[in-house]
Amino acid sequence: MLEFLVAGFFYFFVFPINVQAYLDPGSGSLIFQVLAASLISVVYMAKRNWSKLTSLFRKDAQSLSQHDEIKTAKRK
Amino acid sequence: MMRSKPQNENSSFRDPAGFIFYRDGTVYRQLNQIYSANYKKLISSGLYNLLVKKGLLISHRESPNNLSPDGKAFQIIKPDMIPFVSYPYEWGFLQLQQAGLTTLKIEKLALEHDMNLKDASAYNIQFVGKNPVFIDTLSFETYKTGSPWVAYRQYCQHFLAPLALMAYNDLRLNQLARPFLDGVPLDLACRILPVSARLNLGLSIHIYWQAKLKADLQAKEGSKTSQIKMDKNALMRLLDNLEETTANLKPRDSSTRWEKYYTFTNYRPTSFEAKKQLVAKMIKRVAPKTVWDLGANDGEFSRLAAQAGAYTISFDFDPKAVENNFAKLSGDNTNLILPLVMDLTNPSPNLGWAGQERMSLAKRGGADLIMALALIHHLCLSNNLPLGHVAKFLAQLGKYLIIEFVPKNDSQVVEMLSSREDIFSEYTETNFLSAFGQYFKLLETKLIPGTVRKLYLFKVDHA
Repeated sequence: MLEFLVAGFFYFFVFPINVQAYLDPGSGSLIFQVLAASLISVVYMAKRNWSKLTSLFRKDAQSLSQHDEIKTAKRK
Repeated sequence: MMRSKPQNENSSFRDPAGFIFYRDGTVYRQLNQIYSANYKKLISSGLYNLLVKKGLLISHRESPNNLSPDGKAFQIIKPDMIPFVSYPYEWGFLQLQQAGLTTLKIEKLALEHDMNLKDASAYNIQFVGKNPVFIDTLSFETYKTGSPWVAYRQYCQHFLAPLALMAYNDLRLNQLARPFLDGVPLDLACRILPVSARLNLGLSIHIYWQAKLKADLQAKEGSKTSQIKMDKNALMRLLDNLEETTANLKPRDSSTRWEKYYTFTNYRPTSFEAKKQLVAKMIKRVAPKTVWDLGANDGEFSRLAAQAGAYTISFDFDPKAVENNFAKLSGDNTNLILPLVMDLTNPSPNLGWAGQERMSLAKRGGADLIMALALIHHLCLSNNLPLGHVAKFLAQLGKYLIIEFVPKNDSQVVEMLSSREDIFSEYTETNFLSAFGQYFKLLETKLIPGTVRKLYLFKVDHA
């Protein structure tokens, strides 16, 4: 899945750029790292938002279980 | 006082910012005018002090400019001496990993001081014992706002690709650094790495996709390199990701024969302890400053030399043994052991431009004491090396020699010869003594209690 997303990213952003007619001894690593950094930022943001979202559910689950514990304690 | 003629270091010629030279046995580095602004910034920004304080960068003293070999110095500096120069093809996985992480740490600290590393060559790192130190004071340049990291690809070739190959394929692939002095080409790494490596996001990006898109991007980049801009935060995230990817790589556990060598020795623990005591006494008698322990395995006997205060290079041809040796160093109090991968039957040669950039093992030689414990039977019987050849080779490496002779009636040799024809009629203690007698003077002989093995202390006799 991740592999497809990474591939999709590069195909989407790299291949539409116009190709110059000659080759330069430069390794292409400068443009590449700009793209790589963008992709890493996207993944980083996605991960952060995902963990925020899941932590929201975790909090709910936690508070529910705490609620249950209080109820059980009261019963005792 | 007459000064001796300066001699330029053969590996230091690519960078127009300056070069290394030797004078009166001391190492100096010349900084050329072109590097003056960067050097001033390195010092005035506080980056130099910070890196030296953290033990990340070699410290230096400024020396008089009239030492310059060509009279064109902006500044001459005298860096601290490195006790033994080693190369990436001699390092184990952990060493290469730590060297890479050190490079990234320095780049990140440099960026915080508005500076940048202009290269990320593994040869810019040297190990002092277990500690990786960046040695190229000329690698720092002022950060141009928005510029990408010019050494990004070099980092991937020198560190990330070989580490990935060692982690996913085999530890012995550290040897790829020998033919590929500017790091493992990324397309080659892609061909060797298993498909599973592409499931690692960092490796997929920095190795696979960088290699795949190289030709396309090379054409697109063309002469527009100065127009390519990148936000500093984005660059930091890229570095974070490189750091995370590098740090998370772990070699698959592959146990080797040598790794458990001491667990499966053919003699009793009491004999092993007695051997340690005998070796320790011999080391004490020689009182060496430098020791080369050949066939050191995980460095059990190297530790005896280090305890006696000697800077000890702990060589073994098995990368797993070197790995274990290095891993154990973190618990040691001293910092006098450097474990390295070395096949004595094919030691590191002279490499690079004109065969002079990287020194052979022999060229870096000259230890006070050589130790060759439980080694000779492997050289003579497994590698068919005549005793005379072994004696001549060892005599070139050091001044004193502690060597263990393992005779044919030793149970391990019996086992070694059980599966092959015994063509080694020359392999006897008498022949051993006469072969070594041609190059050495015998100082001491000790039988290891409970075994048929003997320890010999020799002194090189050049007369």
